[in-house]
Amino acid sequence: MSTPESAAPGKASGPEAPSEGSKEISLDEFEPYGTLAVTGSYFVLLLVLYALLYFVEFATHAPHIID
Amino acid sequence: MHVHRFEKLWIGLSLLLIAGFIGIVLFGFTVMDLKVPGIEEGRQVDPTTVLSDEEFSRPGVRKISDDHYEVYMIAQQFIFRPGSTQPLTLPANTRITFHMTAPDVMHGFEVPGSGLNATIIPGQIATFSTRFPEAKSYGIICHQYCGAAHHNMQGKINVVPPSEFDESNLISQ
Repeated sequence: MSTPESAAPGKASGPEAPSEGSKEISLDEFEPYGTLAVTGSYFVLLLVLYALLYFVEFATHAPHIID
Repeated sequence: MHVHRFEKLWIGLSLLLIAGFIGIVLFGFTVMDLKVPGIEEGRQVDPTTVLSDEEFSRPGVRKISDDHYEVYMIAQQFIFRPGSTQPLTLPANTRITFHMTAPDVMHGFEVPGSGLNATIIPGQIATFSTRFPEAKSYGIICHQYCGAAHHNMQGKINVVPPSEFDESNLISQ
């Protein structure tokens, strides 16, 4: 299926035209390290907080349900 | 479908995390044998007559054995009986089984700072067992909105060393 846009890449005119100095890259050349860093730090934060739950739930000298 | 390698990474990590959570829950309930508060299976009470029932007509602490006591407690607007007007006194390091019900609306039972937490539903008997590891005072609060004075519904548990536990206040069987 080809649309008019995909049939003529780079030839679009008007506001969507690539500006001077920009280039098209493939998906694999796109490297969003910033996004990776943010996602990664949320992941690490989640693991750290989940580990802390152990101390909140079980390592305190407080009564808990045994049966 | 082509998936970017960064996306493969965080999709993979997310799936591992979900598998990890499920694994931890299974581990807790099998290897660690964790328990959650339950209801007495197959036992329904009539909330309109529960106050004249065998055990709940005389709420309080009963002795089962030297190492096991049980507490029958009524939660009602806006007190715990026993617990609110009189603190509930219990021995430390002893198995305590709570049986709780409500004659009016849904209440909550929570001992802040501990793992003790149950929902008290009219018509059912909430039950769980615990041990208080040290002799100190604990608070009780209602954590289910139960009416206009819900915020005042609170109580107290005094845990004393087993040697100082006064058995004269027990409810006789």
